[in-house]
Amino acid sequence: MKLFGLNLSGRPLGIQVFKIISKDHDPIYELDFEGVISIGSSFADEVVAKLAKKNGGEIKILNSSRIIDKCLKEVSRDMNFELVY
Amino acid sequence: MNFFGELKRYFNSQIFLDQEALTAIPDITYKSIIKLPIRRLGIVGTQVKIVDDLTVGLNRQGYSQDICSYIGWAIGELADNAATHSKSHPSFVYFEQFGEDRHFLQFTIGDTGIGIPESLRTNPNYKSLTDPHALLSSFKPYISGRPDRENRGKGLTDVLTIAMECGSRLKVGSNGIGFSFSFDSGVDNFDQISPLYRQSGTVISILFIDGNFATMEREDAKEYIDKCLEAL
Repeated sequence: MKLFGLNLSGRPLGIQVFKIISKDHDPIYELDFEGVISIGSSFADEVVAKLAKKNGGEIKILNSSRIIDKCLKEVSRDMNFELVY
Repeated sequence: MNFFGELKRYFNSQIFLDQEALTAIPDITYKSIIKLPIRRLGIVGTQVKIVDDLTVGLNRQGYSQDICSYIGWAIGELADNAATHSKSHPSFVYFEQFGEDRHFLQFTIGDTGIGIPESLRTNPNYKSLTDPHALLSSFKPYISGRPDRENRGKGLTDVLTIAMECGSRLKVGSNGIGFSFSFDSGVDNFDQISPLYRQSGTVISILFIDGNFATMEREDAKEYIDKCLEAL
């Protein structure tokens, strides 16, 4: 995920990133947050939630910080998918 | 409209030197040690590069990873809101560091759009809200100018939750109405204030304090805003 920025935010950027990931990679998705400093919930709505839906309702998260986890947990509750660590 | 000049004028008079806000925080040095240039936001993803540069720099200066994450998250949400709801008017972000012994950082995001109350009332469910009620309600989860089916309205709630977790001070001004929320020293304070900026648009300013962080949820932010609405 670091390839897209250290601070991942914004719905429009999320829409672009989702298109890139889903075009270039097939499920099963694993998202590696090594080196990523922050993520916003609107970005996570567009990327993490949508990839999880394509992935059977769950997605594996690697190397996420405490604050990134906090955001992802809010989004997973809200958008009804499972985070796997 | 000379937004840049106007924004700078208000920074100088009300945001930079908000000593009343700063005096309530123990051990703060009033001296501003770094002022970064005002940066323009608004194009998709602009904030990512700006925030990347900022957080990498803060990290090198000894700011914790957590505070950098909170700052990145909050700026991201606010920049997204400004770009989405200000109807293509320009928005700007500004940073200032305070203190020499402890880590304080204040950032302000301003836009020249239609303002939060007007934006919220484009959703028929909130058409009858007064300006103060609309501005406060916009911090509650799932309250948005966008249609309810889009499941929006979480950005400002997340920003308020972050401010609560960080013991921050948050000020918002929009279309002639202003509020301040403060969570430092473990005490919640809410006040109606003079707006930070008087022309059409929105200005939000947050003072971050690096240190210990509480754990809050969106539901906590909702309960807090409900209390503020009762106090109006």
